[in-house]
Amino acid sequence: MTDRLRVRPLTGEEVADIYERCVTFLSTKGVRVDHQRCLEMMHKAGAQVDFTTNQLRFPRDIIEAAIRAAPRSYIFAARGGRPDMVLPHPKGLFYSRTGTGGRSYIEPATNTYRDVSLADVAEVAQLIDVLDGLDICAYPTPRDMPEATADIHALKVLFENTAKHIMLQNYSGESLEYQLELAVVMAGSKEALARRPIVHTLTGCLTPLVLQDVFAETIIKTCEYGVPMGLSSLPSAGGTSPVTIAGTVFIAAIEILTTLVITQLIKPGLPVYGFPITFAIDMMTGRNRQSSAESILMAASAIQFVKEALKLPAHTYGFGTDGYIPDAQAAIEATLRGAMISSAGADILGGAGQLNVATAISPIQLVIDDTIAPVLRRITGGVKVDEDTLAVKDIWDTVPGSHFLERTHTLKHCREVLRTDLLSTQSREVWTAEGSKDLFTRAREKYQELKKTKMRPQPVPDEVRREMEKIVKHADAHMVK
Amino acid sequence: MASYEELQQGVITADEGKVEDLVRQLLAAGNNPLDIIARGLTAGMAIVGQKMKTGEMFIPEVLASAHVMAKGMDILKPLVGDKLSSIYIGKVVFGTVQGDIHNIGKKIVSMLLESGGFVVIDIGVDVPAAKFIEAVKREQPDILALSALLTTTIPRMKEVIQALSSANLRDRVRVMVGGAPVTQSFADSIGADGYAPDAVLALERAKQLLD
Ligand code: B12
Repeated sequence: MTDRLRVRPLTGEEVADIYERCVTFLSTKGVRVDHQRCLEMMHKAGAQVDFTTNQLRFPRDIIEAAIRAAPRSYIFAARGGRPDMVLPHPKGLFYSRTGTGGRSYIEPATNTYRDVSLADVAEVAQLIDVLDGLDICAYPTPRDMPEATADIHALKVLFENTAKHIMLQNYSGESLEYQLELAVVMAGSKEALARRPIVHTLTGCLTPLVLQDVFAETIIKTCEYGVPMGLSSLPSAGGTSPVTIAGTVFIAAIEILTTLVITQLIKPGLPVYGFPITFAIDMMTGRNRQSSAESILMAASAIQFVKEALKLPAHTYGFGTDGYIPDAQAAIEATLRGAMISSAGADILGGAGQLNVATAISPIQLVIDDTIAPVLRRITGGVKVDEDTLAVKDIWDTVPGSHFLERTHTLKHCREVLRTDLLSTQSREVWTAEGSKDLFTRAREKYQELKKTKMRPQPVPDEVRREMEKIVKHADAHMVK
Repeated sequence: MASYEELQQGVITADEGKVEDLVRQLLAAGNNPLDIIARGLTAGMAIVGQKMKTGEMFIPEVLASAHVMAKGMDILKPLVGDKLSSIYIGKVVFGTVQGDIHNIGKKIVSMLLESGGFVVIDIGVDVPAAKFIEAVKREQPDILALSALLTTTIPRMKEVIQALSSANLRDRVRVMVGGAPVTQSFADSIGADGYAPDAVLALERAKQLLD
């Protein structure tokens, strides 16, 4: 048995070649870091810093020591008695993560767009909490809160409405500090948060090849709190990176390796993962795409690189569409992307519920992606081959022309067959009698049912709630002009 | 003999050597440099603009044509002297607002504006209102273009427009806004003069703003 179904877009030699080119690039040319304190920290740690051009270079030994220093395995914690998530997944599978940052909410009843409100954030969080196929929660950005603190307000509401692990996305260095303080209150203490991180943060680069202020701040603060961090790179092929698949993978590899080395120089052993989020610009319209054939293949290749060359857990969009509403295009693109990315070995498939190139969130799409996730998990799980699964004895005993329905072997294994409640398994007659409902209608009904029967806020102790309110008030007082 | 049609073709196919040769030949044959520009180079670029709108040409091809047109211009510029300003249809100061570092959308729009005959001064990302005001004073552009990609930074656009008013510059410059979270109704609500959802329409809108 292979432990997992694998698609390897690159050969081992190609992975090694890209890695060697990254090392050559980072040791001779390097990247620009627009953050004085970070440059000073790097200088102290032995990296080469040109303080006149802000160019940062790493010799090979520092790069290789950083790769060795990063932990191979660690946990994401959740609350409410949910089990910790071990990365990489112990069964070689993946975790799923919902869409981030989207500013638009797609109305379930009408498929129309409107601005996200704080109430929507609460609703989406409650929905994510009850959808078992979804593991990690990210959040849309409320428009009815002050801009400077919208992400802080959103995080508080997430804590109040889901117990799942949360991926933070900060809009400034200062707002991250407040978000991490909220997480400390939720976890009980700074130590408890580092021990069982109920959140993790994201850093990245200003592609191409600049570590910009906000990302340096995020790295420094995350190292201070000791929670895990995603090292992202968001190249847009043809725009901020080469138009070719390999060229975009190369840029993403350089950027991820850069933030990997910086984090491990500041805090050796900080849990990190590689997060290549590759887009491709449509050369005719200039619109970015996340689920074109090229962007999917770039992401799959970059995931392979992160796993094999950097030996880190890897995350990218495994869902999401360039389409505008939950429709056939959304289903095709999310499924294609998911199948390819999960087979490429990603540990986290992100972007569930997101549409319009990561700018909108839809409860209906969340319900649909929650259905796709277990199917992908089942397929990626691969085939187990042994005496029992081959049913050797049963096949020897088979009378030609008989059947297997009554076999003990069938009885023993019949619950292993994956069923989803949303994809049709009834006869067409039953389907017609029930109103000939298409997938989207069924998803909408499931959402309405969950809303009525299951979706509810999390129990949060009064004291914790008060502490969180204090932090948010403080943020509003200090950050809102 | 070299013709304006051939020169237009040279621009459309982005054939640098051909365009430079043809410009020299047309000059040698006694044609007026301003005619070579108008009937050859910019006429070719106008066809490119059409082909971009219909999707026949891709953005990098349009940019290559614009680059080749500029090469032809380089030969003619010294000959037309101060009549040169009439070649450019307008000037744009362009920046991404404070707190926002997204820049590729701005770059694409800038380049297409340039290809359409605008001079664009790109003042970068994370630009505070004061720096926009400074640039408007210094460059005296026809259009001030603002980009923002975050819902948390689009309010800065309104602040730039207010700062223009405070500096008594509002009636001297047309303001165009764009970026993924920007909509026509948002643009209207902050008193911007123009908005476009993508680069192709941005060029069209910018031209309209000059009328
Ligand atoms: C690539 C990207 C980045 C890159 C940008 C690299 C670069 N060099 O530009 C990086 C990694 C730096 C980045 C950072 C962040 N990003 Co970002 N990013 C994107 C992404 C995926 C694509 C943007 C892009 O480049 N599009 C391609 C260009 C060609 O399109 P465009 O910019 O829309 O421009 C077109 C039109 O809008 C128009 N246009 C643009 N400007 C103008 C101006 C005028 C005058 C006119 C007329 C027209 C016009 O024409 C252009 C061409 O057609 C978007 C998602 C999305 N689909 O928009 C998220 C997105 C915008 N980012 C988002 C977020 C949250 C962030 C971060 C906060 C994340 C973080 N903490 O890590 C930081 C912000 C830091 C900061 N302070 O700015 C969110 C925003 C949500 C919100 N509330 O609005 C989005 C929507 C993604 C998401 N769902 O999370 N990002």
